[in-house]
Amino acid sequence: MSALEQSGGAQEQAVGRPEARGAGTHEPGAGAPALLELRDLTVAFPTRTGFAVAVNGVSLTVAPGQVTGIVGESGSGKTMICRAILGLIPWPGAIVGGEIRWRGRDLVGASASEMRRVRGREVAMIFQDPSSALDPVFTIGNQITEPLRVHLGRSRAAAEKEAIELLARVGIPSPRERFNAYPHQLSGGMRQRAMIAIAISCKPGLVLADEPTTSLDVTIQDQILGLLAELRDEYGMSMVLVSHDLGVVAQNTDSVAVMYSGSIVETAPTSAVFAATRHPYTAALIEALPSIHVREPRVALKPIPGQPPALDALPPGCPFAPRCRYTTEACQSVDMTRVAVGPEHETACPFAEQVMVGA
Amino acid sequence: MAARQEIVLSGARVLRRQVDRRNRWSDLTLWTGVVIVVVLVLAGLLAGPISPFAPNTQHLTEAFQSPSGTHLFGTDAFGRDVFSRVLHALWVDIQLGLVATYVPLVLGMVLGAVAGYFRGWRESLIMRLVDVTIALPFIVLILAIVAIVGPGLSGVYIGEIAVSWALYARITRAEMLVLRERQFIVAAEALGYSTPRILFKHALPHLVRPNLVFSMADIVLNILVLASLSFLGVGVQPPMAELGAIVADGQQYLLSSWWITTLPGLVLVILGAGFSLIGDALADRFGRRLELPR
Repeated sequence: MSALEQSGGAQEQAVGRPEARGAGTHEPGAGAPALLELRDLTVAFPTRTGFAVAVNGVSLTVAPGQVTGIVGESGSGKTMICRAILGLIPWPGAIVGGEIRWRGRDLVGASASEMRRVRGREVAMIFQDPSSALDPVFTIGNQITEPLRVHLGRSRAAAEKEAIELLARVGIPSPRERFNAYPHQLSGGMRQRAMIAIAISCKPGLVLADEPTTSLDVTIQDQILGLLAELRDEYGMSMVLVSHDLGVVAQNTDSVAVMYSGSIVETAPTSAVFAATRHPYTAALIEALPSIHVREPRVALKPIPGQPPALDALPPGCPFAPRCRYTTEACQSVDMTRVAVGPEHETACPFAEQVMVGA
Repeated sequence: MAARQEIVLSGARVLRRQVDRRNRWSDLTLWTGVVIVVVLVLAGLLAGPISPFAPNTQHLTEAFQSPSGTHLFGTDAFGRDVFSRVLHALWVDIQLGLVATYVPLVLGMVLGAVAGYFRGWRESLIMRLVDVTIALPFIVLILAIVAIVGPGLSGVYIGEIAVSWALYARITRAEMLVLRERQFIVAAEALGYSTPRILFKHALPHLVRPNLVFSMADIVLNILVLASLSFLGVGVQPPMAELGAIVADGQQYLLSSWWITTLPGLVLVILGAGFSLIGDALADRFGRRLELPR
């Protein structure tokens, strides 16, 4: 991997991200104040034997108009971060520490009614599986007009008109007819478009897209991601794009946070993550990814040996240490505080520069 | 190619026929139940105009007459026309069945939904109350309440409502526990809707079905409880006509004048069967409508 040898200067150039879609006029983190800032966010669930820490001291910044990707395997806490932002941690879990700063105010201590004002109006969420996230007993029209009527106080007629425009905007053909359709009468892609229409109906500042394309086939996936990028530019929204698919993240985000076992192990501008990886876990993920660009014939995919640790029995220090190829004794006392290794590039592995550069 | 399509089509036709047959059977069950219930409800509501005799007027000279053209169900020990008494009794029973089922249904659904949605102390409180209510034998608990309130219809109403909400709460809580983690409920929360809106607009339509199916069996149960209590002498008080009370009246003459007990008892059975048939058909429709026959 020659890219690993790139210096900090090369990373800065890569920040422009020519391959990313819809980058438009947005300059990643150009001194803009954060829209959303997570500081040491910790979410835990009581278990029979103690606590399962689903999100472990996560700090993350989302700048206005930016798309922030969160990648990680199942159970690494990606979805839990989204639900924590909305204050919707499933019972009996809870946010046990840290701050969620939304436009400067902390949402962790916010009252239930304050949270309700944020949800839907300021922060909206798009779910993984639109066929279960849409209520089967109500029509699409009913479900799109509801936020318009509840949050924006639109009349029935005005809400219907606006809903049909929204349906048209998200690319649903003959929206007037689809307005009266039930979710089961639409295809998966159409359902996800309807879901997106609901999410953007109140023009939120931030959309949390939780694996928005996982349940769709590849061509539809591409259309949906394209639609999200268009809408992001059009409405000037920020987006958190959660995915376990590195390819999706590479093409659709401005910056990336890589998660492992509830911790963020690396954050960086998207291109730097791939070009100048600075965490062994990220590197292992990339190597485990099949590629259509055959650089040398017969490069075998490298699986990551072992299993992620149980969340109620995290090893001391770095949670990835037991599976890491560079692991040493010292890894057990790593405290997962990220250190800067480049512009806006941070890694939780203090040994990354030694072991990975020139490896 | 054509042959293969033919096989597929004929297979589909067989399947279609099986599904149709099943649906027709379910339709037959439903409509039989509906007809029975509607006829008996109308008979009960119109008891005044259509009954040939006054239900409580005694004609001691005409006591113990066997069924005939004049007295369809015969007469009892006081010479009262049993058929007229049955007609007047019907609405008393059905009304109790409906009220003592659907008031607790609403009560139990609200409490169960709250318990399942909020979890925590609200759930513990409500569900322990349910456990206590269910742990005590049904009839004994109602007897105790009747003993406090005093015998009569109002005691039975209070007793049954106080007891039967518990099962609805239990059913609803179980459904709510599943529902609250369903994505569309989480999505409704993520859209910032108020809790009452989520509970009553979004969750309710999904909670009604199992409760409705159970309520059909519950109506029968509640009517039978009233009949049992009246039979035991703590339900409706004489001379008021009520099916269980009429059965009790004839009980000591069972060997000589069988009709006083048997015919009203039969009406009670048919009434119960009517509601049960509706319940069965609804369960069939709600639960297994599209399940393919094996």
